[in-house]
Amino acid sequence: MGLRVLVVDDSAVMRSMVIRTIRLAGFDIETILEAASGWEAIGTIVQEPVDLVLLDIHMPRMNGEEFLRAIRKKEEFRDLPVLVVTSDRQEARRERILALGADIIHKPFKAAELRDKVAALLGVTTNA
Amino acid sequence: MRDLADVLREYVEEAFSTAAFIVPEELPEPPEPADDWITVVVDFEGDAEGRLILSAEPSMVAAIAANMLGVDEEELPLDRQVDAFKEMGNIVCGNLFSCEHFREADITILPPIQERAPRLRDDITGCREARLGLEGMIEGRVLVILQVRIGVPEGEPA
Repeated sequence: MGLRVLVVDDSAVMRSMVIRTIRLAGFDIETILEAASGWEAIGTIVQEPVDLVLLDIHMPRMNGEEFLRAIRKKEEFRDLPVLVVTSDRQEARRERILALGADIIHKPFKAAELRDKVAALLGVTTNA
Repeated sequence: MRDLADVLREYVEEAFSTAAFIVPEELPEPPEPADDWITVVVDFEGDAEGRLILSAEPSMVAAIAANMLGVDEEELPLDRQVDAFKEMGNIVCGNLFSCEHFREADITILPPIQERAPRLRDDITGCREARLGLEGMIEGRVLVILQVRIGVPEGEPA
């Protein structure tokens, strides 16, 4: 059974970049879902189970941090692997995200960095 | 503490090379944008206020978008190219705020927007400014401007 991945970013370009990178990384992927806001992402994960969320921070209609806070209150999403993909490097932000049980990768990222972060979060290896 | 222009150069070059696989050379003087250049601005607020401006020849914008998305330039409509250019502005701006000038600052980055021409904000005073011109060997030229006020200027209430 392949991975089900949700990519959340208000920039369609960024979603395309992340999707392309994750597809090329060699993971066994069944489906990649997309959402343009935290609000839309919550609507997605309550309807369709996902194994991993790749999450932007600065978005309208519920930003990434608000999304994380909201899902961590629910038992079923408490341990859902989330990788925050952001250009925001402020230390206070980083600490809050880590405290919410997510990992972080900064834009611009190298493909190998994203692959390694995802592999570590999921405890899997890739075919790349 | 490094000069703001040096910091700007470092982060712009890193963003261009890592996200778009373009390694531009610095021009001796910042270029003067022509009418057909594409401009995006990223405003920011908080402990530091200001604007980051990226203005580039259409060929540079097309190359950035194609490389970021891994497709041929011909496949990308202009609005998608501009979206990629906006994302490049977002990346540069977000990275800039990790440098020593802004380390303790709480800053909110606003969504990038397209403008008709590079224009500085006129609603803030006491700004510092750094300008940078870069040129890709085949991609064309880009002008980068950082306008920033760090902290509250003297004479204004905190």
